[in-house]
Amino acid sequence: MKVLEERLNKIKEELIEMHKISREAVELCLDSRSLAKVSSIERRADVMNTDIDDNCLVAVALYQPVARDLRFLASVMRLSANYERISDLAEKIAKLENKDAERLKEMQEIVLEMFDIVYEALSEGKTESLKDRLVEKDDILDKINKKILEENMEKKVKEAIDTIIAAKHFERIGDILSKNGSRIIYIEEGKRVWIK
Amino acid sequence: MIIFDVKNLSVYYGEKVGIQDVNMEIYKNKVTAIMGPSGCGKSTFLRSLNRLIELVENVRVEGKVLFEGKNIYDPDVDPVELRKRIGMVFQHPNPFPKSIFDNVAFGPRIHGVKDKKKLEKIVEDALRKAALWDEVKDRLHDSALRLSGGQQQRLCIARAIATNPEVILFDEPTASLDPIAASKIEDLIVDLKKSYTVVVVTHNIQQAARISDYVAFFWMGKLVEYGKTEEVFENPQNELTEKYLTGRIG
Repeated sequence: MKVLEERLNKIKEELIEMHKISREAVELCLDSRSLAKVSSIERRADVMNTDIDDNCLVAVALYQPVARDLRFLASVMRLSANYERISDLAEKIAKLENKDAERLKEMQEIVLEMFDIVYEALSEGKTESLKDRLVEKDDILDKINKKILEENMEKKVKEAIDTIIAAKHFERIGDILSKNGSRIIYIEEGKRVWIK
Repeated sequence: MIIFDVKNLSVYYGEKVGIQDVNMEIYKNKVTAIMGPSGCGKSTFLRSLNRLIELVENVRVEGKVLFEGKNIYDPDVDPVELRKRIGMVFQHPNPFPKSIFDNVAFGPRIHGVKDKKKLEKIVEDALRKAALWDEVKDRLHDSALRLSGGQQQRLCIARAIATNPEVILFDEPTASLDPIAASKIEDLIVDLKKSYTVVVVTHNIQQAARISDYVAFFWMGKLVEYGKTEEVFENPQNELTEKYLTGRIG
C-alpha cells in the first residue's frame, strides 16, 4: 500500500531526526556554554515526540497495519519517547556545575559510539551483532560509573555529587540506547531480546 | 482437538492446478480463516472440505481429508450425508424463493423430519443461533426474498445450522454486505464457534484478523503459512505472507 508506505517513511525520517538531535544534546551536554542549546533541543524533542506519537496513531487508525508495519509503529512510539528521555537527561547533565571529570568525557564518548551503533541499525535495518556491540559498550559504562562512585568518595561533597549524578545520567542514557537497540531488533526480526 | 486432518491434498481442474499438496490440521470449535488473493485456491480448498468441489466438471482430487479420522473421499462416504455434517454459507445470500420458515425447515425436511412441532423448534433454534429470530419471529411465513441482504445472509446461516452440522464453511460471507451487516455476521461467526467448527474464506485481511483463531495463507494454489492468527499477524514467518499482509503483493 503506497500511501501507508509513504507515511511509514515519513515517520522513520522523523525518528531519525529525533535520534540525531538527542545525540547532539549528549554531545554538547558537558560543555557549560551549551546549556541554552541543549535546553532548546530538549524542548524540540518534546514536540517531536508528541508529533511522532500522533502520526503513528493516525497510521494505525487509518490503515490497520500488521506484521512488520505494526511492529514498526508500535516500536517507534517507544523509541521516540526514549529519545525524548535522553534529551531530558542530557539537559540535566548540562545544568550541573561540576562536570569536568575526565571519566565523564570517557562515558560521553562511549554513549556517542552507542548512538552511532543504533543509528546504523535504525537507518539501514542492519541488526547483525547489534546486541553484542551494545552490551559491550553498556558494560564499559557500568564499570566507569562504579569507578566514579569509588573515586569520588573522598572529594568535596558538591563536586563529587555533580560528577556522580552526571555519571548516573550517562549510564542511564546507555541503558536507553540499549533498549532502543532491542526495539530495532524487534522491528527487523520480530524477536524480543533484552539488552541488559 | 483436530477435526480435519488434510493430507497431501491437491485439486486439478482438467490440467490446471487448483491447489497443490496442502497439509493442514483444522481445530474443533475454532474459527480458521483462509486468506489469499483471488485465484490462490482458497475457495477450492474450502469446497474440498465437504466434497462440494466434485460438482465442478473435470475436477480431480488427490490426497486425503480426514474428518474426525475418516477420509471423506473414501468410496463408502455419502456426500449428501457429509454435507449435512459440514454445512456451507456462500458469498451471496441465496435464500430459496420460499417463506423464511420453509427456508430454514428445508434441510431438516429433506433429512426426514416431518413432525410440525419438531420443525418449529428446529426453525426457532436455528434462527436464534443466527441472531435473526427477534427480527423475523412475527413474519415467519413472509417470503425470504423480502429480507435485507444482511438478514438473508443470516437466514442462510440459520438454514445451514438447521441440519445440526458439526462444521460450517463460509465462503466470503460478507463480501456483498454493507459494513454494519458485515459486522453482525462477524459477531455471529465468533459466537458460532462455541457450538461449531468454522472455516471461513475471506479476502479481507482485517476480517481474518478480527474473527479467526487460526489463519492460513494461500498463494498460487499452495499453503504458504498457517498458524495462530495473532502470531501470523504480528510476526509472519514467510516473506510472502509478510508482503501480502502489508499490501506489498496481492
